[in-house]
Amino acid sequence: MKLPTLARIPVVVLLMSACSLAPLAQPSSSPAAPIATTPTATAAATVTPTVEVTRMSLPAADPPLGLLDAGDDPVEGRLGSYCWEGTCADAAGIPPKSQLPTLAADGGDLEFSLSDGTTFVRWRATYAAGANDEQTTLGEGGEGFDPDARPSPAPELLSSAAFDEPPRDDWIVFVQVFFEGGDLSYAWHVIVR
Amino acid sequence: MTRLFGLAIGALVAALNATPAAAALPTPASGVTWDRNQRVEYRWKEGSEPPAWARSAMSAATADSNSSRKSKAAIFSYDSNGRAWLAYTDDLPTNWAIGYTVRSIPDSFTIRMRPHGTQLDWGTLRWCEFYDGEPPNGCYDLEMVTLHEFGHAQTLGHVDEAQIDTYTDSLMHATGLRSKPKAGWNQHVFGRCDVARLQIRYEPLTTSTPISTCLDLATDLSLSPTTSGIAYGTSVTLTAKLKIDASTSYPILAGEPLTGRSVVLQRRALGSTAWATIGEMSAVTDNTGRYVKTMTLTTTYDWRAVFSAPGNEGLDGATSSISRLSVTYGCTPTGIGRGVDPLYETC
Repeated sequence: MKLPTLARIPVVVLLMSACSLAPLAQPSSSPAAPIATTPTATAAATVTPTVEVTRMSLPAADPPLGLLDAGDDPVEGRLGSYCWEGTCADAAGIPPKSQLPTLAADGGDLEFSLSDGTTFVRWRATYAAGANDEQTTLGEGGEGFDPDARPSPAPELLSSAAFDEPPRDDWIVFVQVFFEGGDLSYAWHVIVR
Repeated sequence: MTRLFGLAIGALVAALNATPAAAALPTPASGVTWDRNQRVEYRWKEGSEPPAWARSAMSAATADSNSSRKSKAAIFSYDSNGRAWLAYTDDLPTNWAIGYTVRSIPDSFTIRMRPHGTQLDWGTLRWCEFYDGEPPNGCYDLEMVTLHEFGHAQTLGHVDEAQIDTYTDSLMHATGLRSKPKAGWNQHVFGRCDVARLQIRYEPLTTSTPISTCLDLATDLSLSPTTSGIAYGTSVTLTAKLKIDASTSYPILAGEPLTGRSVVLQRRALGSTAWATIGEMSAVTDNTGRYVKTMTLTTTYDWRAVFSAPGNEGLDGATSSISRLSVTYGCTPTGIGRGVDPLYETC
């Protein structure tokens, strides 16, 4: 069994005040940074429509975009099941790798972040050969947040999560993050050369 | 072959269910809650009413939520004028979701379920209930998925898939709702950690409702009278009181009385270290967590009540502090008989 790997310590943005996470966990209203949907021209043709339809049709309280960066431009992930500001959407599956946003990696770390600087308290990254194959953990970190427990040591708020790339091959990489107001999940087609 | 596979899956599920459950992190949740036992009425969304087979499954999910919440979470019921609504519609703001819930607590919620046969980016949605007879593998149980959406309406989020062993029976998975014949594909009750979160947020349904095994809560047991002089031969009612310990990290559960459990009464002779069980104390059905036993006392003993940790609940055992009930004579001697051995008192 492969043990979780923490390739790098995630960036700690702020230590929460003893009173509340809320102000820090809310999405900012600042516009998202420019994003390269795919790093290669060949992948763009198949990836863009799916991502754009999802992004354009979400309601006013859009979840942030999940970005995965192999060192060049971050690639926007395909959003999966999520709960965000009282709205939850549930996926039954994900499309084939060829229809997922594609990221080319060449051996190193991957770094996950959210587009608008939204922070999170826990994350987990996994990979699998196909959508229905068993997933292997690439890394995980942070602490679970319990909104109903008596005040306890505040969890760290994370703005990014770094983890090892999967082995050289063709994979789907999944990232699930948790924050005070819910959870988000994303997937990418990652080609490790 | 299919039947054999089904049996194997069934055996696997049974084995998982038979495994002693360990305490774990309850299913995540967020946002404000409904009032306790708030009745929230829904209607079928005009123009998006489900067909009969789907309506039946979605109504069944309502009953599933109400019966398996094991807490004072919201009660959902149909009313043609309800403010909340359920829809069978393709009007979902994604090209991949099969269920979509929006909470507007304290007033209403909306649930959208995608129609059978919809082509999504991952494939074609097939609801199991659509089929007469045995549904094909790969279909999704509409009742289960609707119950998952009701879980969101109750403020539950998705479980942390890293702790999959903990959440095996959760209905609130994020990475792909389970299709037939995966374990849990037609589960129609909330899982233990789903229930735990509902109990934490809304309080258990009654004081006798079992506490989810996803929790590990200390209990507090007291016994009265704590000390007293009791006249020889007098009947005394010993009263134990059982509750969730006030130190638990969940304020709604702290100090919650526990009724309907098994509390036994024990005693030991003065100077002895060995406790003997006298019997089970009777639970008082007034939701105060009291247990009583009436004894006729002829000898001085130390007494205590014991609550053993039940295997089917997330409660720790507790033992009360010791009560010494000293037996005394019930009269003032008026004389002592002479010439009789041993001496005796007369009143």
